[in-house]
Amino acid sequence: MVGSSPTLLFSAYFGTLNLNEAAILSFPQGLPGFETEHRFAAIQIPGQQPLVYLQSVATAELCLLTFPVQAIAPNFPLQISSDDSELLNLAPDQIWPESPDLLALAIVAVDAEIGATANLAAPLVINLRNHRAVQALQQEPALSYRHPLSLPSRAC
Amino acid sequence: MLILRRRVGEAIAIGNGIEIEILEIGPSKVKLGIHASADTPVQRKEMMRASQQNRQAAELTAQTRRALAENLSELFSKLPAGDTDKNFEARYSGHPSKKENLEPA
Repeated sequence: MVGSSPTLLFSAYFGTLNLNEAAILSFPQGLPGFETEHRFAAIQIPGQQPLVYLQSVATAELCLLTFPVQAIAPNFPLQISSDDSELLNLAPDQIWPESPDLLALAIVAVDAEIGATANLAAPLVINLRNHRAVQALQQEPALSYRHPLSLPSRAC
Repeated sequence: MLILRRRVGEAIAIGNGIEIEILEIGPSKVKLGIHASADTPVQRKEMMRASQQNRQAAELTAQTRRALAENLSELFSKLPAGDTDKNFEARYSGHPSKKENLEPA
């Protein structure tokens, strides 16, 4: 990975972005459902922390809204399978939740019946040392693919 | 269910144009190579639910996404913050700069 070369990126929502290569995450297996999408820029907007937008580098229209799982589940019991651990090139000292170099993001969706939901059953796990990312399926049956988010006012 | 025995280097064909080759056999895993046209979705079965959820998440309109983001920010501002966000921020210190004037001449 090139250290700090800037990358020009076109987003349908943010316009033209000039990003540091360090803000780009690589999904070695692509994003499930979008298997040809391997690179996403992690974008934070001032005043909207801890939200993280994941903007596809290849597709201007593809942008996901996510947030760290701890924002709603402070003791999130993240499990990383050995396969996922290999894909992320995790070092032995990178252990959830102690390691500051591991991030787990829940993807937000809107369900016609439930409203806004977060995917806690399959968070995106990111190794911040090498910016590799993978969607890590959780075995814990209590974690939902559509965890309802009780928003202050209805978003839609 | 059809059951076949195959060795490394051998393959099976499904319909016209889909081939699955046995690349490697380990003590508890097999490595498969799948030849299919680019428009044939191929994925690990357990990822199907995540794929479906991701596709739904990608359908948000710009307007809905904006409203959601505002509502979520408000929701999170009322919750005790974890330290993960600070770590993340520290890594991605540079906020993307909007350069709408970079249109090619």
